[in-house]
Amino acid sequence: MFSKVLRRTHMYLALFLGPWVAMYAISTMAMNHRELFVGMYGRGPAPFEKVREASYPGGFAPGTSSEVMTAAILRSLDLDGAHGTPRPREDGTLVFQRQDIIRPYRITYTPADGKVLVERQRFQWNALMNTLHRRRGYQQPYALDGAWAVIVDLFIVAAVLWALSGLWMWWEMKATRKWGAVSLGIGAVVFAFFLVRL
Amino acid sequence: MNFPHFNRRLHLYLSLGLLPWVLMYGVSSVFFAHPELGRGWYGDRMQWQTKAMIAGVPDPNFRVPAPGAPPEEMRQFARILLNTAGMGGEVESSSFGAYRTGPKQINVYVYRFLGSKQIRFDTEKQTAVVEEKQFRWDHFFTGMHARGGFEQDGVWQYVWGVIVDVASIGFLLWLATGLYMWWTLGARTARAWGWVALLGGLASFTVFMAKL
Repeated sequence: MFSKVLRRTHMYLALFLGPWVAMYAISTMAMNHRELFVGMYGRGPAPFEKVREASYPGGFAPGTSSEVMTAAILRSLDLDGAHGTPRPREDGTLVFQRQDIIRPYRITYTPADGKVLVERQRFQWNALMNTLHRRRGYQQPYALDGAWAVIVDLFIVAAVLWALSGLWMWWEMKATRKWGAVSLGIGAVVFAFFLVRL
Repeated sequence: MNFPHFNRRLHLYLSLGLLPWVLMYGVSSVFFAHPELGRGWYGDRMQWQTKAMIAGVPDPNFRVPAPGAPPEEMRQFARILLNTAGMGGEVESSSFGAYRTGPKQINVYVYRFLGSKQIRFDTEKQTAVVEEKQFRWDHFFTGMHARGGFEQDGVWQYVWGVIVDVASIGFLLWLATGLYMWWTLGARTARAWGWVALLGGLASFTVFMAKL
């Protein structure tokens, strides 16, 4: 019974998390070959392009926190969602990012004239791969971001479980023990070599 | 050996061979997803211990890169500085890079899986301090997770980059071979619940891509 539960858990987790397995594998290769993208797009982050200009006429009382200002500006732009909360610059200008997996926004609020500049980052494959691979954590107060963080945690647990349950399933199959041990041994020796050598 | 048999064996032996990497990527991801764990154990700041002082740089061809120098010039500078500091062996076996950390300071950071060092070079006095980083488990795992690419010197670093690719292809092959094994399972219930899991995952991923 234990063995069957383990096999099914191994399989259903893999079927559910299949898109994440593919995403992490492809994005790892993209990051491993980052020089290819430098050839395609050049060095440095992708440039931002102007989308529109708006105004936030009410302004903010002195000492208003970045958290309050950024959230209010995004609501006024109808862009509420995960975002950064950096401190304003010395002249009071507030520049922050509104996250978006495909094309993030950069919002610039100038208190002197109440203008808000909305820009979007140009799409680049390497940026998409980086964002997908690195997005995690429970810092944002939005349900969907929290759900993504839960899935990232689930993936971590699943990866360890796939490894350990795979070991168990291999040990149960007497016919594959010899060659399995050879594979396992080669992998462990190569890993240990690199651990010490590099 | 027929195809289903080959498929099952490929899934199994590939997993066993790459098991250390699966475990390493899995465990290390904990410290990326929850960096507060490492900070809670070791604090926010990295601890460095001074190992050596170098009074001067004897190489007559030694030229300090100007601020804003291109990465290759900084890298070449790092190689010379490592040799001067008696750390020439690190060029082939560590990931290293030179970074200007102030108007009069360039740091050469030398990363290895089991320990990192840095050289703090004073560009005005042309003196250097070699420091060793205190070992931290969180940095050990995150460093190993993030290591890759083909920009570093030395053949073994190149081979590690190839292994990162092999592990990535391995993940894709597990997915493909696993899908085939599920599809060829005789049990009806497993087929039906498998569809639920597969479509649930695809639908969730699509929603995240559209809304996040």
